[in-house]
Amino acid sequence: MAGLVGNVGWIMGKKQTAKGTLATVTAGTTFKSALVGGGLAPARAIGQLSETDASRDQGVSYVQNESIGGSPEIYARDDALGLYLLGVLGADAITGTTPNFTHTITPSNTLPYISFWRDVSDVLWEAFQDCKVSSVTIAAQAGQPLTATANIMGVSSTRLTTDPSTAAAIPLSSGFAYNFNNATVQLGGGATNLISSFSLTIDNNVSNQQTDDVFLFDVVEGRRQVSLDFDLIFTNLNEYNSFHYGSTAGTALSSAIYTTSADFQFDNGANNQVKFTLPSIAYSEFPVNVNPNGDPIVVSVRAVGMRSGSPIVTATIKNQVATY
Amino acid sequence: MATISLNDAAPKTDEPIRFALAHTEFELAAGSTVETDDPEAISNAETHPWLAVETPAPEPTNEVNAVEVVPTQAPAHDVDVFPENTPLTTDEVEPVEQTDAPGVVQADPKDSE
Repeated sequence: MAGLVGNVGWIMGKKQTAKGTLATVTAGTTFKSALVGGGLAPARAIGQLSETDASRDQGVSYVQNESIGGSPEIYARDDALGLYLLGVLGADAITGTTPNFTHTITPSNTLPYISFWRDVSDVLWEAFQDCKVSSVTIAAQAGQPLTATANIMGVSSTRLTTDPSTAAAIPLSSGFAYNFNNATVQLGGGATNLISSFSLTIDNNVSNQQTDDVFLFDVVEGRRQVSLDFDLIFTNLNEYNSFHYGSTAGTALSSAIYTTSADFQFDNGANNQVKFTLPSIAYSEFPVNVNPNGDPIVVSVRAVGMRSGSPIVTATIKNQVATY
Repeated sequence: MATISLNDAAPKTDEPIRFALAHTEFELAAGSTVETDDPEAISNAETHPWLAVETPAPEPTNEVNAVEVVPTQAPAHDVDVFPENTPLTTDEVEPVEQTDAPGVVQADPKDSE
């Protein structure tokens, strides 16, 4: 028996029609992605009885629960990426006609359940039911491909004996992988080319609920948090002054929260796009420091989405997917 | 039953817009509406930037045996519940007649015998 290769595998997902019903794998609405890192797997919580005994040995083990969890990381391709953004935000409004569609994905109060499947080295296939996307982080640095890391939590799993993507001939997503070189950035409504990296995190703080069985009762979304980090080449005092001193020309410390807007748009022609719109963000950190080694000053800005932005974040995907 | 329609922020398109709000899916064109009594769908529609939700006010009940609940109103602390009373003056106070009766009645175990 030979060892198994490590770089053969994928993750596949499709939105369920309701809780408790594993989605049916069909071409066009089921999306299979190669993994950059991470993965999704059953997670078994084990406890140990704590009692005295005739010996000093530890107590016997027992199963507390079995849940689904993991953080698969994929390259941002506009077909599969839409499923993860719909999973983390919840609402999709679709415009356009075949073959080109625009998905305007916005936050909703409840999240859809999604079925996921995984393949490990073409010998292990598992189906994961009643999953929710707890968080998604979209990140890229100058010259590097855009990646999406989704933290997924789910209720139950089933081991399959055959590849679930074969019958419906689900292709591995292999379209254009967006790169930060494709970005157009706006800060405060104006175009800027001073941003060299960005990381956007949308976090639903999903938590597990367990009642009277080894598998979970449910996974439930909590408070939604949106945070944005980016590196800004420091060329003027405008943003720094606005953050600390209340205005671009301010000199006195201000107690006011400075808010601005940020748009990150990635284009691949006229009909393919990934765009994130944050109408109101508030900086939480804007560190400006000198470098003894002489490197130019780059400010690692941290910001949070403000509820006053309506909606707090919008993801727009242009692709050839009619529906998720 | 709530009625969902497009609001002014929705894009003006020739084709209807398809919405997927978690597990609720529907199409809306300009001037069209959908109705639902699913609270999850209503909640998600209310937060959507392109949707307007109208929920009719509840109609008054016509049931004969309906019970009308009248909230009780506790009197304020400084309300004189006997408004005809006025404070007594010292002239109006009569001294209490002294008696030999004990001021405190104590139980005597022998009384029960």
